[in-house]
Amino acid sequence: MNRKLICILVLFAFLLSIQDVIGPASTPSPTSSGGGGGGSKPVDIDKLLKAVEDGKKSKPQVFEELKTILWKDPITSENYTLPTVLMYYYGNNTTISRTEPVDIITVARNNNPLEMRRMLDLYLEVKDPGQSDYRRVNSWPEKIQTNEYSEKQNTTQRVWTMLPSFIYLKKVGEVKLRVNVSDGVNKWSTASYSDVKPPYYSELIFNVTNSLPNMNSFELAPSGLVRYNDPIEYKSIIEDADGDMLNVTLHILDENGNEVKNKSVNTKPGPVSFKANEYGFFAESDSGKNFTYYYSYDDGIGNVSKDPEVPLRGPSIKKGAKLSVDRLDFTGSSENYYWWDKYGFSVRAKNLNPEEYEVSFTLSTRTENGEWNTVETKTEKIGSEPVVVRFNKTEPFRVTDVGKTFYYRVKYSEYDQTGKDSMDMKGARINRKIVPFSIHSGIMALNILSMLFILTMIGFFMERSLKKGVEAHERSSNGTGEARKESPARTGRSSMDSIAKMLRRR
Amino acid sequence: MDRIVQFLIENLFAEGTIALVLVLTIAAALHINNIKNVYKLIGILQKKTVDKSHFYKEMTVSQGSNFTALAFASWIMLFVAIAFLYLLVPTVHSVSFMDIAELASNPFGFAIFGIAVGLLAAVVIFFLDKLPSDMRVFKLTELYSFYAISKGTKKMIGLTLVALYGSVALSAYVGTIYPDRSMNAQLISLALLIVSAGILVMPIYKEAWEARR
Repeated sequence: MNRKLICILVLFAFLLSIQDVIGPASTPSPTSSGGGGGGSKPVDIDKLLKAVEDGKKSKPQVFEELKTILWKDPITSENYTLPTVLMYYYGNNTTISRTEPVDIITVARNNNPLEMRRMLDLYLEVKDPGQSDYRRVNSWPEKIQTNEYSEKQNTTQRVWTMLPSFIYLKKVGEVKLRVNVSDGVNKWSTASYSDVKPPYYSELIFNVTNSLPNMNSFELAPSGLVRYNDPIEYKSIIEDADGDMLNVTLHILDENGNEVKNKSVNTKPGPVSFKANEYGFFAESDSGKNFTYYYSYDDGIGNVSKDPEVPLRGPSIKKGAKLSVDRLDFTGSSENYYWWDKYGFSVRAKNLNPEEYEVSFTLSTRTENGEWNTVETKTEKIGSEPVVVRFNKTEPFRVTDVGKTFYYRVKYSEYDQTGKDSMDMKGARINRKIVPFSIHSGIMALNILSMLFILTMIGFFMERSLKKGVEAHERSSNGTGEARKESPARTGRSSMDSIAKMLRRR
Repeated sequence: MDRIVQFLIENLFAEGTIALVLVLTIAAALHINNIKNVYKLIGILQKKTVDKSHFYKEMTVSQGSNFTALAFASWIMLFVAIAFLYLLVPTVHSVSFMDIAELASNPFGFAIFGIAVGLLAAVVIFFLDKLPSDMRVFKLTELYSFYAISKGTKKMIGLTLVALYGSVALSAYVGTIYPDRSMNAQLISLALLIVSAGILVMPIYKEAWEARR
């Protein structure tokens, strides 16, 4: 049985192989030239071009070989005339700033017939201020193909977008631009032409200028007397039309006009800030001294050495105490910490220096994530002997603070031993009780009694207003009386009266 | 059995609240039913349909201005006592007058709250009084005009005002100690409220009872 099955499968496989060898019926291509055994695909010019383009990328060496094979020497004829290539600039203003956009254009005219024209290679060259030689701007030639000239004028042009302005210049002055041309046989420059009239030029010559930066809005914060380690900040605004990266230097002078500090920053035009604490401009030894300041700045090309000419005043650093602060504490008038309780706060301070100074202490409180609320400010003379500053019988909390933990802070007008000007601590949780009166209190008795009296009176006024007592009955009786005048047979009231009376008796 | 008793004791306040609601709701239903029955009876006896406003007019009994004034005051006080018990501090609902902490802590905060509720109740009563004459059954101002009320009952209705004062005072006490609680004060306040409400609607129950007999 198995043998039979194997034989059938082998036979089936054999038949399939025969079919593969024979293959499907094919019709000869009309473009096929015949012969050559296995058949050939038609040659398509588009495919050939694509193959060459692909080869240019994937196999550059083979592509170069192909170019060599296909190279055709330029037609040399006595009738061939050199194309005219000139610089073009539309406008009279050749004095421009470094940042001003400029269109550098080269125009070419080729009067040769198409079959005699040659591809042109253009190189832009520039001579920067102070330089003796031209330098090439484009490393790869800008090519003008033979077929791209206009039919009527036989002209074409190139805009040199790689040089949109002269922002790159580090030195200002005269800039010259020209183009070197090659047609494969001849090489010449636009500078070789003479008697050229605007807007065509053999060379473009620009006088490139620079805009100096300038500063304004000088400000020193905080103004007035400050402590040496206060957050002193010098602020100003620097502007530059060219938008260059600027170097700004702050110069700080002492009372004699001698420079004691300077600091430079590199910045783009806009606000400039120097923070004294960041750069360590002032020390404790500067206490009692007055300083002045000015700025100098440059944009890498030009500079301003002193702005403003007369140095500005500031800062004036005051003498003060160097505090040692501790024992920040609080007490409540009851241990329940009700919101209406009176609270006492205290802090101990002394001056680490022998002098005695007046120092102000400001107590603030807050609950949980709330804002600090100023409670009281006290000024005390602080000397070398410790002084306890007390804030007695304060009422810093409101009913909305119930159930929240409070924090308290004492801020002082001088810095303490840790360099801070305040000390804060966590207090206690404020009792959740809302009503500050007991039911036995006079105010609550007045509260309840007045309310009850007024409510009772409302009842009486209502009755007097609506007259639902005797008057209502009288009204009702009058109505009945009037009704009685009507025919009992029509209204049936008299019988209803008796039923109603009967029901009432029940 | 002990568990049931214990459960009942633990939930006295809720049970009392349900009782208060039932007393007032059943009274309202009985009042409407009482008037309806009388109207129907008159229709049967008259053997024709009687004009409703005419019927109400004939049914009206004057109860005296002093009693009516006291009854109005008692009803207003009942609403104020209910507000004090249930809205001064969180009880059945989490929303309470204590949420307006600045007003609650005001020296006259409780009085402002009570008077506001009382005025609101008075406005509602006034509004009901403006209903058409064929809907007089819904007028709280004429509740007692449809019933024969004995002098004793009138005295009791007058005295509910004192009981309601007590209820309001106890609820106010609970407000002053909030967030602490005094379940005893709340229960007594509720008991006074239930008793007062029961007395205020007693003529309705009495009429319904006698009609059944």
